Amino acid sequence: MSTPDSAAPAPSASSAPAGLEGCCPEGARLAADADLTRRGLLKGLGAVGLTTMFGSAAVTAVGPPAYAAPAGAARPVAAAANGNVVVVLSLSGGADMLSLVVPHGDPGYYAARPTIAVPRGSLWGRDSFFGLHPALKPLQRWWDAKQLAVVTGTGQPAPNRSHFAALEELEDADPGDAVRTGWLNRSLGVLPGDDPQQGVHVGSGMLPTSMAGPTPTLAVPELDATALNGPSGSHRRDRAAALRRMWGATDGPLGASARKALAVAADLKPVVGSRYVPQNGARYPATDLGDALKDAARLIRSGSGVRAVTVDHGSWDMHAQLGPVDDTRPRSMRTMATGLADALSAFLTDLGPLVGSRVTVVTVSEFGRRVAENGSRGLDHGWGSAMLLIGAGVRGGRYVGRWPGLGAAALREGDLAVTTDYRSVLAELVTRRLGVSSAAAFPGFQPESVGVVT
Amino acid sequence: MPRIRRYRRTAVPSRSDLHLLRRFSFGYTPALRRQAAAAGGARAWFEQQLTPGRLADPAGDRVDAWFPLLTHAPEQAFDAHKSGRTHRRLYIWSIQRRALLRQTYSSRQVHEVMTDFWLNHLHVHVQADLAWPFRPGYDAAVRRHALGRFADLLPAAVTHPAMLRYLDADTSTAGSINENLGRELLELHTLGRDAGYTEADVRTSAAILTGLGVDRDRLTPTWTESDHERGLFSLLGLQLSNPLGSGRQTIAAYLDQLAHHPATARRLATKLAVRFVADEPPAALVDRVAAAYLASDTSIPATLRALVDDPLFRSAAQPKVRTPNEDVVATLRALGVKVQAPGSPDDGSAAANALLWVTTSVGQRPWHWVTPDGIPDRSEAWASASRMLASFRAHHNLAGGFYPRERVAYRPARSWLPQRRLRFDAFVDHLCRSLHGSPADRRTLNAACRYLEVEPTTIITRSHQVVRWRMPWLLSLLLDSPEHMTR
Repeated sequence: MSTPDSAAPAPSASSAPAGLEGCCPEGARLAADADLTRRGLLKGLGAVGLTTMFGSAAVTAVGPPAYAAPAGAARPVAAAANGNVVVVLSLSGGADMLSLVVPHGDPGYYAARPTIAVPRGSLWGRDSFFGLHPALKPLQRWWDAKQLAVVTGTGQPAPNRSHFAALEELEDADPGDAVRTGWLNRSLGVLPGDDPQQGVHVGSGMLPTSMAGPTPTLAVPELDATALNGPSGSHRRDRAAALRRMWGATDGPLGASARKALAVAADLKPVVGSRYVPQNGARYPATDLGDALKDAARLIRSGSGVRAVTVDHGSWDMHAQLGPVDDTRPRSMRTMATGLADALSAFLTDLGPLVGSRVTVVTVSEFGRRVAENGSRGLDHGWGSAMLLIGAGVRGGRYVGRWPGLGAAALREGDLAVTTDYRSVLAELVTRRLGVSSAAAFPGFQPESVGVVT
Repeated sequence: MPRIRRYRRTAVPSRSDLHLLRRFSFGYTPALRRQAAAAGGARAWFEQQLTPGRLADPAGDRVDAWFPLLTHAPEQAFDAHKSGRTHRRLYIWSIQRRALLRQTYSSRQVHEVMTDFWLNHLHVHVQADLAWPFRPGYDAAVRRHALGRFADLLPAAVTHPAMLRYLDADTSTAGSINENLGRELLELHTLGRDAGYTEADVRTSAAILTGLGVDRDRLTPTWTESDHERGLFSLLGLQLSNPLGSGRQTIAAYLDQLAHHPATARRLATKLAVRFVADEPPAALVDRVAAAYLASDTSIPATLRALVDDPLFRSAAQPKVRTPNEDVVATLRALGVKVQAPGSPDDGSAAANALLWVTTSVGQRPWHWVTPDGIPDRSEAWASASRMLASFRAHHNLAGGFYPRERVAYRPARSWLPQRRLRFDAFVDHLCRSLHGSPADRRTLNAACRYLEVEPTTIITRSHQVVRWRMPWLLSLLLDSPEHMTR
């Protein structure tokens, strides 16, 4: 589903009759803060007589402004210790990872899937047991560079085959706690700074549970939606100035969040206001995922202080239309995998050396799918899954994890068993890359060492 | 220079009337003021609203007719989805769209507000696997009792196939109990976690509910006496015997006792007070509302009367932040946007359908809350930077008629002028009175002068640039306000 948000522009100022530009004396004064930085904004708020809207503690916790440089020259600022970024790509709907990471060495695989198994000969990245789906071939560069790894046999500690309940549990990742707080929100909570742009969900205005909670984060259908829409051209800044007058003195959470919103719009203005040209010859596919990952790259490159990005890509709920390896119908596994690999490889190409130094991508999915194909050449909801990790710190070019096996005795109600709790993988990721303790991200959980992220 | 006719301040309700109208509607409109005035004041209007069956509602009826998929029986809907004729999301979206449009246009505003309240209290996730075909029926059941007795509403909701499936009670049997619904019934729907029940009570609660089910093929409610656990139940001072052959009576008696329990009264009174008074409502008001609930045999109108007639209803009131959905609905109402019949459910650009993309972009879709507790009703839950940015965008798009654009009529800019010529400050005052039901203050006028680049004394006519080009800016600014973003 798309969420069209574009609006035909208002009749531009130039087409309006010459009018009374700048006749408001106070307006003329405030118009001076042309390029709003966070600092500029705070100053501007001060100018209208406000002293209490940010407690001093909050102001100091903000850290260095994301855009210290004047006039839109975005330059990277290490908002926290290391500037590393974690990108979580959710394959929603329950992806069949056995099609993407094929256990060709397990005889149970071909026995269970007479029509939809991916043939051994079509696989790449093949070792004696596993191989990758041919449609993922665009990712081979990173596999060869040992920056792409797979953890097999991952999943939730107990089966949960309801999409929405499983997804909720996956993203909350703290089963004992009734409060709806996601693992990424908890992770961001222990990092310095409280700019909402430290954690950004791209592709929808609704926060996923992983990102929801008390720590400020952003959910945007597209990055451009962080800009104030309204008058075009030179008038655009006036909406911010007017809104500061409207909200400058409003108490309570609404007033605080309005001011925060204006700060975000100002902070991200250099990113949003400039045309983004992907680097290194990257070409994003014209898909929702391509758009979202392009925005993610734009955000990461901008030095806006982002630490975590989430993107949802679905639907992988292939009860019927999964199809054989050469099935190119719109919702087949081949088509979905192609869309995933094309967008992801464009993203990784675009980020270039950052993939080796700062950015790590991980895929999650709420559950795996049944091992045996059903009567409609599709797969019903299952349990065990796999996770892909790409980028900085990943010990790649290999398959990690204990393989549970596909023999009848090894299956759990027809499903792949889980040998690695997905939280162990994520805990390793946030600990090694963001410096967040496992206890902060996953309270009460004892992670095992997976050895996939250093 | 021609003389300007003196600006006669546009009529607004008294402050106390406005307060009641705002809290018990989906947004102020001049028509709402006239309705209240015709009734003899907001309190008399409220009284009329408590009997929605006596109020004609042509606009609400019209909206109902726009969503024919919602007349399908569960089996028909499920078959259409399975066979690929009509994807289930079109059913789900229809449910959400109809709700938003009813809230926008129905003249039975208190009924809409309370239906929304109870559907959230007795939350069923709109996309829950297996429950969605029952959702139209569930909405109807809750709507039917929304201004009746809670003792009738509770069993209608809790034993409905939508709820049974959402919380797994359809597969819970005497031999194999699933505690999900039994627990939420106590924790969320009735007593509340503070009531002091034990894990054994939760199990008992679930055991009492066994026997209820859903026919997997015909998608009809079922009762299977042999699945029902028998025995003598006792929990929290409730005593329920369960003689052979009367499992359904046991369930009915159990739910009735829960509805009449003092802890339930307290929980509902608190929740109503949080919705209609303040995030932290005063205990004295909650006590009085709870007492009225018990004294009236769980009558919802009697409970609401106690709430609105309590002196603290107004004196202890604090701003309540509008949820993203409420904001979009209130914006449509304030701007007098006339959404038209959508044609086909597939036509995503028709305004009646596209409305759902607007609320999604602001961060909420009706009943899309994943956990069974329903959406939070506290201000901080809906106050975030991205929500504010998204609301500002939506206000601008609707104020300018930029999105949605199809099958919808927006008011022409010049229709906002109350007279041929008037000063800008008077114009802003008129607009605030029309949009919010209250006069413009200095802060708003200042912001408007800044944004529109005019002086308070500037004379505005239909040919002035403010009216010709900049009405979207002005209207959206007035919607981007604390007045509009709270209820």
